[in-house]
Amino acid sequence: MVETQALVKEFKDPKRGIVRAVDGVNITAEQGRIFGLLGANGAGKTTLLRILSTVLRPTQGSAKVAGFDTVTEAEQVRRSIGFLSASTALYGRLTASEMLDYFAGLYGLSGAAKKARVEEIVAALRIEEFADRLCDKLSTGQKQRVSIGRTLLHNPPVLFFDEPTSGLDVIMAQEVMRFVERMRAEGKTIIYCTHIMSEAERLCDDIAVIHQGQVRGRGSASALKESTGEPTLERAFLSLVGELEAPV
Amino acid sequence: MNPTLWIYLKETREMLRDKRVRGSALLMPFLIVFATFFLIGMIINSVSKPSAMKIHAVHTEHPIAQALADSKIGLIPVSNEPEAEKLVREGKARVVLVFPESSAPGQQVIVKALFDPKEERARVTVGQMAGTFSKLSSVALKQFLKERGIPESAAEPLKLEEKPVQVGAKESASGFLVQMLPYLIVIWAFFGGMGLVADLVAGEKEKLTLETLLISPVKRSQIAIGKFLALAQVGFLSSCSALLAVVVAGSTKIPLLSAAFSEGMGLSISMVLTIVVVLIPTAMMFAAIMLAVSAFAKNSREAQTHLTLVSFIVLMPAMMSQVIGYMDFAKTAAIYFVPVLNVSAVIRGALMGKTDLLGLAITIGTSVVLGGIALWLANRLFNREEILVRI
Repeated sequence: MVETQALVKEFKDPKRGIVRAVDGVNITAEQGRIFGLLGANGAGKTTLLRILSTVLRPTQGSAKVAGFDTVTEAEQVRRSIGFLSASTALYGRLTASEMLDYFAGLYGLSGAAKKARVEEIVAALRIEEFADRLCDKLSTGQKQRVSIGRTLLHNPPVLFFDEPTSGLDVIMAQEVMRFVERMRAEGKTIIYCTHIMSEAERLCDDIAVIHQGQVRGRGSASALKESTGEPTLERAFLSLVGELEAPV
Repeated sequence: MNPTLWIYLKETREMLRDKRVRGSALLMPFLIVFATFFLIGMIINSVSKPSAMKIHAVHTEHPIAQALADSKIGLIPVSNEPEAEKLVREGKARVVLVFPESSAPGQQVIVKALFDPKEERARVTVGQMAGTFSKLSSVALKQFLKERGIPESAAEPLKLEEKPVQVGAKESASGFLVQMLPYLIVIWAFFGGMGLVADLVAGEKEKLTLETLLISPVKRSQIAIGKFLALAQVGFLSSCSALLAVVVAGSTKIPLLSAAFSEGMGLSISMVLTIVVVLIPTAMMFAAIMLAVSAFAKNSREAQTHLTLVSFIVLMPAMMSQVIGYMDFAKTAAIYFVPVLNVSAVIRGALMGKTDLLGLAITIGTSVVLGGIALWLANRLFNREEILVRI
């Protein structure tokens, strides 16, 4: 489970002064469900995920991931999460299997257990055919498969996805979404950031519409449509962020 | 496996697969140093061969001109002095000697040397001629005195006799190495790692691989130290590559190279060991400084800009090491407290067979303290969230 309470994150910008990227966010993501963070670029989704993954410290408020506090129990949080983003790169001069082996070592696996887990991931994600190829030489889809493998190496109970289909072709995007659904079926807690309405509608059990660092609406896709009186999720989203009637 | 060691091994594997690292950090020091010694050998060879020298001269029939010809200096006749000046002006003759048409016995013979003082090689040739004339003059004077029954020693009523006193170990590297090697060792310990440190942290920020590393359950200090060790190793190996080039150049029997080592190389095992002992903390100090700079930078381009500035701070004392022997400061213990310069001073002392153990200890201590401060700073930067999201 993932839970935040009145979470705030401010940055000092030399030009704009104090910028509040996350502004009093309260969310709760349940086990075995996909919690969607729906927002435009720059809405604060990635900052929120970075706080949850302990890379950033909240300015105010608190967050718990898998029962651990993101500030005081950061290492336990990091052991409990897997993080996948479309923009996350791989080490170009390592092969796909070396990349997985390296991260398995960082997550504390060693010896036969590490070897077995890497082989298991390689087989499950059909990485064998390019396992010995340098990551620099892989296609975007192959890279994404290796990234997914890296995310799952330590079998984390909580998974964060930050726009994981961005830049992928339709087939690979479908594969990523099927993978996310499979993880939900395995009982993992999932937070899924996206700005693509169809993805949110297909995958997310609960959605928080985030805009300018604030949660502007929350509920299932149908509940959001109902509460705004709009026929589509896209219109409901625009309504919640106050852009529906905005002049062009 | 310990995460620090795990990260260090991964960085090492990536570096060894990087053509730039293999080229710029490992192969380049060897090639540049080897080529430098080759070039210096060529220069020494060309300026220290009076036997092959050919000089233009006016009035080559003069007896002194004949004596020069006996000294294996070939003379190319020139008709007159105006023609000689013209040859120099047009760059067709380096030096033209103008002998008098005739001279009476016992009379001082004045030979003019026409040359362009702006030409280095012309100045060198004139210097060589002055030496040759001095020898001929001495022979003539001794002959003159002998004919009159006066002892030859009267030609030199005052003589300075050089008596070298052995200080320190008997073994000593050639003067040429004493001057060059400290500089080469120090600069490659820095420049070896400079080409790749930007990729190591700032480059990882740009490629977003650092984020996945920071999300892993590894302590930030372990990440910093793993990268630091890999970087220090490259700086150390770069210097070793430069040192290897010196050893190969000094051991090779290629004539042009041996001209650079006319006194022999004189490099002993104990000298090499001293260099290695002082080089390890130096490479670590440089690695820690570069890592801190790279961690501070937003991207690899900014890191390269900062590192270029830092390189001047390293280069200046390293360059000073070439002339430090002429300064009284080199004789004081204070030199061992000046970073970089102290490393050169220790290597210089070792090459001269005069290793100062206290100086060595102070130098290692200074490098360790400075490197420790830089590593602490790098670690602090790794623990700040700005490492990932510096706006």
